[in-house]
Amino acid sequence: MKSTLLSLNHEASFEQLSLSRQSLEKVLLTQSISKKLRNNILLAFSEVVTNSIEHGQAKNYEMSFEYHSAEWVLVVKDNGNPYNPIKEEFDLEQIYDFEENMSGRGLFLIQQLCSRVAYEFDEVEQLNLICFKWGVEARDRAPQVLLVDDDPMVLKVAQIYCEDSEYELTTMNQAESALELLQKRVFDVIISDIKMPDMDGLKLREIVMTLESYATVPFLFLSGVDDNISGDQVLIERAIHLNIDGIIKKPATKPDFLNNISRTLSRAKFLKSAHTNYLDQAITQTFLPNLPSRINDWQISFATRSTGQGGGDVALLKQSKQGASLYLADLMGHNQQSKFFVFAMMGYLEGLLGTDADRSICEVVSLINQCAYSQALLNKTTLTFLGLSLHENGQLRMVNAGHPEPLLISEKSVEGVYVNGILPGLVEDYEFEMKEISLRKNQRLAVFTDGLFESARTKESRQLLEMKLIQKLQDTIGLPVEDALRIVMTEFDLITHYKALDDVLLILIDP
Amino acid sequence: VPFKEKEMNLQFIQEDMVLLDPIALDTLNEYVGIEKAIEIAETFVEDADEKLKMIHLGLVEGNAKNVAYSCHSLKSSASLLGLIQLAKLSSHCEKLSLQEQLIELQTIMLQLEETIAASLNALKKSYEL
Repeated sequence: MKSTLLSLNHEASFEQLSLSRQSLEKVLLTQSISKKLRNNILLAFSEVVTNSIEHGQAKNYEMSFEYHSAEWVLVVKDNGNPYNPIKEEFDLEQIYDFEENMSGRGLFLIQQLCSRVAYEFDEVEQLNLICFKWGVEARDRAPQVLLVDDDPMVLKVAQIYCEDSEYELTTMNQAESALELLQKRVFDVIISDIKMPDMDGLKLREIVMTLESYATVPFLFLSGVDDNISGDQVLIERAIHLNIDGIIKKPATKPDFLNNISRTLSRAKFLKSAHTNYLDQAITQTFLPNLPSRINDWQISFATRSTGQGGGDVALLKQSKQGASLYLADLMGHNQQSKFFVFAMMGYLEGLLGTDADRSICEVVSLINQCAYSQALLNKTTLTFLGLSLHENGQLRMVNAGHPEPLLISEKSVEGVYVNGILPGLVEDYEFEMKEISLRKNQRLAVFTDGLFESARTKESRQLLEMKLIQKLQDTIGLPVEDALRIVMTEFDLITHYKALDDVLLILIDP
Repeated sequence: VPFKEKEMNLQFIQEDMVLLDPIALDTLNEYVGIEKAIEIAETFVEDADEKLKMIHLGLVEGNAKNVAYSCHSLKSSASLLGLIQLAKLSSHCEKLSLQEQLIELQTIMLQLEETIAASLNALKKSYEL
């Protein structure tokens, strides 16, 4: 599966580099990418373009950032002087000589920033082309735990307890510095000692409760409550009135410590899920696709899988004088706040297509891009969008805004249909490309949201899921579209154990 | 000279006194493994001096709150490592400092120092530090 998330073409200048970097960062922030990987991607991009400006005398550069078969792919082209950053095997002792010979292009750094890098010089077009690839990281990051305690021994023990656990522990020895950290990083659970010099745990909790982003994050105290000390009982009484999730008694054994974190996290997850499901079920139901099995000469069959969390997948049909148009959107939202904006965007799409205006798919996608770029209510949501217009004799037009490439299926192959286009809302007045293809009787088009191939936890299992589903799509080409869909989705359910990690929408279209 | 290296003539520690709870230590060994348990014990050995210094400093400054923090911290660490006498005595010291009875606390400082020294020795012996 391939999705182009950003594609830019600019004059080679530092001002443009800065703007491109901002656009790339905005895209990276919408994806499940760790901070470290995000920085590496940004650094690789900046290094290459800086090189092309400073050392290559390039006039222009082009860049694209894509998701392709469980890898992030960054491609940069420039029309500067040719160079080859990967022709030499680096020897540590020769690095500095090599760097000097290559005019300080930071090539060693570039090689270190990614899993794979390839370079070629296009003699015909006179273009440098460098391609970086990074493997997609495990989908679920380890739950982040913050422990605040002034006692180095407690911090040391907790670190040892967490070493082979599923949690990533960060320790701070002062409440004040913990508060500073909470402004910069997101934690899934906070644990604090009560008795600490300067700011104590109770005060820390009082402040954390006022932080909007931490209002629902579980908070535990880790404290040496002493029955011999009368003041301790008072502290405990004060603590339990601070909406905490529990008190771990010191000295905590490893199971005490880890089980308390586990229990608290699963309880918080359950409550959040129950709360959001209530909202979701009431609203998301109204957005579930409702497509006919036949649109003019086209046979349509679709299936969905919903996680009941996050944003949602939408399929909308617009019948007009120009013919029938089908739109797919994957609206992304990961917290309760973003959910509101996701629903606002869903309402906007419904409204936009519900009017009498007879717009082409290109006009619709451009309009969504402009609204996502400029309207405060809509630019809070990230979405991918795909527009298809269905015509006679298997003719089909397509506009893609950051959505996974549709697959063209035939007996002999399954191929992605690439249409250049970026995520809506990143670049003002972006001109989306429209592609026209023609489907023969023995061909089929599969359009889908990214959850189809990404509903597995590891890179390897996602690759396996993609490979098996593509195989099923090909094996079922001779079957009616509804039967093919049922077989493909049964395979999906078996591989994912009936538990999709992301919302899924798959539509099979036969001419 | 770090406290742990001082040679002391112990007045308060009896030969038959049980300083270390072997079950607590076994539990720790079982959960984190012997190597990590040694790391924890070493951290305690290093840190005990610092905590004792903080108690002394708090007493000199008449800062009962800081004395209480240090005693509290000493009590927690001692409990984790099964140093029962030290945990009990630190708890008593914490209580006195919270009640601002620093003069009375002064009178048991020697006992606290001896208990720390003897506990550290017991710990070192257990882990062959």
